[in-house]
Amino acid sequence: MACALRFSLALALLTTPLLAGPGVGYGRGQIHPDFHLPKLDKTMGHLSEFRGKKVFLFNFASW
Amino acid sequence: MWQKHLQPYIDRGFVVAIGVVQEQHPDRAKLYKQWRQLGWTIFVDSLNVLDHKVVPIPMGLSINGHVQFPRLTRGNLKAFLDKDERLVDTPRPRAPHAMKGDEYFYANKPGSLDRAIASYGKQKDNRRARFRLGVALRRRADSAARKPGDAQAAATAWTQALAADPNQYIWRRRLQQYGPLLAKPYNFYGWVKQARADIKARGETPIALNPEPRGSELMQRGGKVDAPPANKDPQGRIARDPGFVAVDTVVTPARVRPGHVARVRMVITIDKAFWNNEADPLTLFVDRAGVEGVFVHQNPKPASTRETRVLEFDVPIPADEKRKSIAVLGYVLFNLCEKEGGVCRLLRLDVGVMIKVDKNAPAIMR
Repeated sequence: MACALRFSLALALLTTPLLAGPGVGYGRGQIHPDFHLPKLDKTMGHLSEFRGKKVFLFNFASW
Repeated sequence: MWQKHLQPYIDRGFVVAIGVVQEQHPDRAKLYKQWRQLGWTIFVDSLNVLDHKVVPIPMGLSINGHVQFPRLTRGNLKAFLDKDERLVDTPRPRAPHAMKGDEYFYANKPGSLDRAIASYGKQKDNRRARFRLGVALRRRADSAARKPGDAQAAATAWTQALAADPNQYIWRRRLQQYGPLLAKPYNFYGWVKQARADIKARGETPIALNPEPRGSELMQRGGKVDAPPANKDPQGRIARDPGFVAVDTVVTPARVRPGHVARVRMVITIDKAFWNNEADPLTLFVDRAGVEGVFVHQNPKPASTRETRVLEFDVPIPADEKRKSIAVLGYVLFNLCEKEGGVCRLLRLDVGVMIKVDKNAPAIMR
């Protein structure tokens, strides 16, 4: 997995996702889009639930 | 590594840690979380709604939801934690590529997955909808509501999505998960065995996985594979199965370039009968040179069972192949009993699969 992480991180540094709308996206200073996704306990949740808190957001995979 | 560095700050309330996992099967992320003892809230983005092309991406967000550090590292973590911002009323727009089918996919109600599949299926020219169609079809294929052809349709949709965006590594990995052995850069779920051992050693019970990772999901280059066994019934004298057993076949990717490899997965189900585990194991015979994989399903310990059985093999396509499709023919031999302790027989079911060859198919071997 460590090999995969290194490989994927190298790619990540070369890749910038394109998102619609100025000011919304994953670039420095942009507003991270809110999302509505299931948690591991199967309840749905939003990123905006954490408004007012500094967030370390880790996008990852177990594979 | 992040957990160790962040925990003191999490404990003091300076930061919250959230994970978003790109995973077809949420249970696997759950097991991973248990193994790593992650106290974080973890969201599951099976559909890739966030539209990331790669992972991992560690990101630092301000109290207002601004991206302060698009790629956090150990070197800039302290700067992120020290950076202040005043809380203001900031609008939080939704992820821009959300689709109607997503609501159905996550509704978790009877028929909602079918509606998600129908919704994504209408958007034939939308590569994101193709990927999500594959996710939804694969989810149904792995459920009790599966329909024949679901898994193949998933592979087809993912192949179309990747052809439209070959730099989308989240999509590529999903296709590789079920794809040929040689396409895998590493064993995707090799960690599961170690995770279970470590969790048990702590005195805990590992989260159950449904479905279990198997076949190509656990294989890597250099792993153990076999050539198909010698033909045991060349004259076709063994009685044909009258309908106790069904085989659903999946080819991944759905279109294969000459010189590349196709993965064939056969999912074998039994109805109104039981596998006879006291006789020879279920075996697949394939009439094609060069194939490698798993052709024998070893019997479980109970004398009779009814589990679904999976066999998988790779089919190399010659670099000079000119045909648009290749037929791989064979048969499965198996022992079953019509009732537990009842009449038991050796039966044969002829199987065949067509592999589509296309010089413009996406290359997944990266």
